[in-house]
Amino acid sequence: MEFNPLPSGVMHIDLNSCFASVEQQANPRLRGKPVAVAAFTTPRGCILAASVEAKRLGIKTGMRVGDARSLYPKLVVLSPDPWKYRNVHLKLRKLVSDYTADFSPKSIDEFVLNMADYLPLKKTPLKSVAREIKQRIKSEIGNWLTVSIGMAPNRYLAKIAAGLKKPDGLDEINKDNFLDVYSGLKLTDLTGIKGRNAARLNGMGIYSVLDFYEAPVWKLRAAFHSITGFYWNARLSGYEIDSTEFGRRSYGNSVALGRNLSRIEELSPILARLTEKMCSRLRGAGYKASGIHLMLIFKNGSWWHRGRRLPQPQFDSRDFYKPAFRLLIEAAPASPVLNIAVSCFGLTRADSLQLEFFEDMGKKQNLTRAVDGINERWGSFSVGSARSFGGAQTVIDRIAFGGIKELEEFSLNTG
Amino acid sequence: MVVAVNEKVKVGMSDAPKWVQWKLCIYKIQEVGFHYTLREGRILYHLFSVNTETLYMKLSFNTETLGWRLLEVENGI
Repeated sequence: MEFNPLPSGVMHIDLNSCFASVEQQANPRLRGKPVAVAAFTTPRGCILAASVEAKRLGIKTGMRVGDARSLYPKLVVLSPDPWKYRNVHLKLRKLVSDYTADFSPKSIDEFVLNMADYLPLKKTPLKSVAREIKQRIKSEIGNWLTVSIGMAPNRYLAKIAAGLKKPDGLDEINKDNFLDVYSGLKLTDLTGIKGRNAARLNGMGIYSVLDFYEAPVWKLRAAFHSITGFYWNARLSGYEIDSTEFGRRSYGNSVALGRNLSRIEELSPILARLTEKMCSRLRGAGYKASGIHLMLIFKNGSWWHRGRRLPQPQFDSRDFYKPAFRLLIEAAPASPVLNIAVSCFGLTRADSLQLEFFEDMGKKQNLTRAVDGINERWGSFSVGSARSFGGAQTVIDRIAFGGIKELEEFSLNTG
Repeated sequence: MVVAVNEKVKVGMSDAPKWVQWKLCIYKIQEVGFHYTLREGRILYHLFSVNTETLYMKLSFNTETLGWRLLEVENGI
């Protein structure tokens, strides 16, 4: 397939070292120092973000705090402050909306802008627009914050371009330079191509990104055993196939436990807290759900998960907690649990109330509305089930990794 | 090292915080590193991460009581 001859119309903005940079922005004393934001500041805590200075010392996201400190003992390790990052995300969202209405956040620190219809583009080159966005981020959000911006005819290549130079990069992949860019990349530098996919491609004699681009579609279909091969061919040729936005299909909450817990009586308050949090969000968005799913990840690396359909769509936390608790009993955790995740699926709009023969559903709905109203006025968990209060110390406010769907629930409304 | 304080303070304000009075000392604010907002229930809080000559401070302004609190300080040690 010939490379897309159209000019770059997609811009990918990636905030460099997001959580750590925001902490350095907030506290000028941390600027220029190796800083890490970790889920827990204890040696076993997982690093969520490392500053540019820490990355230069080999400290990476996902590393344990203890390992990072063995590389650099004076590393400043901070606990996450989710509201700071949400505010930066919302300010960024407001800023990019000045340029196009067709944008989508891909995570808390990534935005994709479709600039194809951006009218001033005809007068101003896209690169100048990108420079202006970088400048505005510094002057309007924080002078320590830097972004890498990538431009290309499609979303995928724009993301690759944004990753070519970090921090503070500004690169474009287009019909004139794509061969040069591809020749400088390894297969595994491509998002979505890691060990297993690279092995599939190697099996078909594809060892470089240039080989990948030049490979005929039949070869790629054979490598991936599906239409995915065609999609890869289109992606690398600069054609858009990743523009589909998927709607919400579930609500869930999870927590990484900082302690070794394996007994049901220790885990159930945490499960109750997670379930109440999940249900409050579910109801807030105007949904009911007809299924519950529980996943446990154990300290020994193994995991367990199971889902269950409910007899009919539910909205009350108690109706989700009971089956979730049964699932926890079925899991019968023998080794310490590292992570608990509970989610509900089978969403339907809560526009109507299905009456039941043995239960007063109207009463139940009024009760949940009253509880939600009190919590909205006085803060989350001002009122909740007694069993969930045992999990208060464990289930704390966190930013969901990767996803941005939770940000639907926050706004810049400060009035 | 960051130390949690959570004490009432007086703050001089003009567009942004200018000074903080804490434990009979007045600290002149040199830079507002970051300003952000959060809600706890209906109450909107404005949070300011500020830098003085000797301390980094995190201040919170409660828009319902109009009161300021010093949440945490860091002296760079």
